[in-house]
Amino acid sequence: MKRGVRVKTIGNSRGESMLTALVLLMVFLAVGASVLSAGAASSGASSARIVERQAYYALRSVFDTADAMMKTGSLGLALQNNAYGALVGAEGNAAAIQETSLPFTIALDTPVEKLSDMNGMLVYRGSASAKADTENGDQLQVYVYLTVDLSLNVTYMGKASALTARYRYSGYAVPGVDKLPVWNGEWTLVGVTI
Amino acid sequence: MKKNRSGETLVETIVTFAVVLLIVMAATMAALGAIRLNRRAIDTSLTLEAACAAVEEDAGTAEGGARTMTISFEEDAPDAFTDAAAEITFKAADPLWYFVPKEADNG
Repeated sequence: MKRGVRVKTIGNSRGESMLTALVLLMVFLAVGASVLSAGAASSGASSARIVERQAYYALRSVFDTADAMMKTGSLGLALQNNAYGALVGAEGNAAAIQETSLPFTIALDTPVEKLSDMNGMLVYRGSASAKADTENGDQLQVYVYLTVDLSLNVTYMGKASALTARYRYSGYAVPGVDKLPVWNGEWTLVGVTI
Repeated sequence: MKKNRSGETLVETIVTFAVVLLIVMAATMAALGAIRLNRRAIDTSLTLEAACAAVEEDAGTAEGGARTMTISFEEDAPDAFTDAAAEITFKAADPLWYFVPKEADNG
């Protein structure tokens, strides 16, 4: 009778430890998989952050260069001369420069891998007026006021970055050699929106 | 009959040990993999932070000679707007790169 009871007990617990082990296997595998996927996500996120920062600094580089071209280079000079030309071509001694949008492309002489779609837009408006400088023998002076929005777009490894910078120009020109204007003024960066 | 049941218990124990061994191995592999990935992510983040600081301070290493960035307008743009170019210097702060205008362009 006693033996019968023992046999029954063994029979009841048969497979229990295996079942427990299998349940544990599932639980640990689930925990292990989630820990591993979290690690992989963390690693992937840090790689994505490199691409994101690089895209930002590529845009910053383009902007820093365009900013120099605007303040002291040919880009700003082109806008000033365009305003000067608008006054020369207009009747009277003042001309309003209507808002004009000029799309442009940006290129590097040596292409950079994974850097693509560099372009932008120049939107300008303002006024130009002429008056005689009586203190300098009635020399003609052309006063120019401009507001310019410079938009830049850069794509690095498929990550597009863009910014818009607003500039203001206030200055005047006097006719120089070959009637080319000699400028005296200043470009001011009003703000940048990323 | 009783002998048979004892044998089953032995098989059951062996299988249980095998399963437990699998659990331990799988969990260890997963944990080690996660630790390795996390360590790599931390290293990458620290390197990136240092590189960002270097770029902000313009402390990157100059690479190659002078290069040029050109802005080209469309053909129907007013006459005053011809191609504008500026010399630039490429710099590296691993893993990042950037460039700065060398000097104001001459038009």
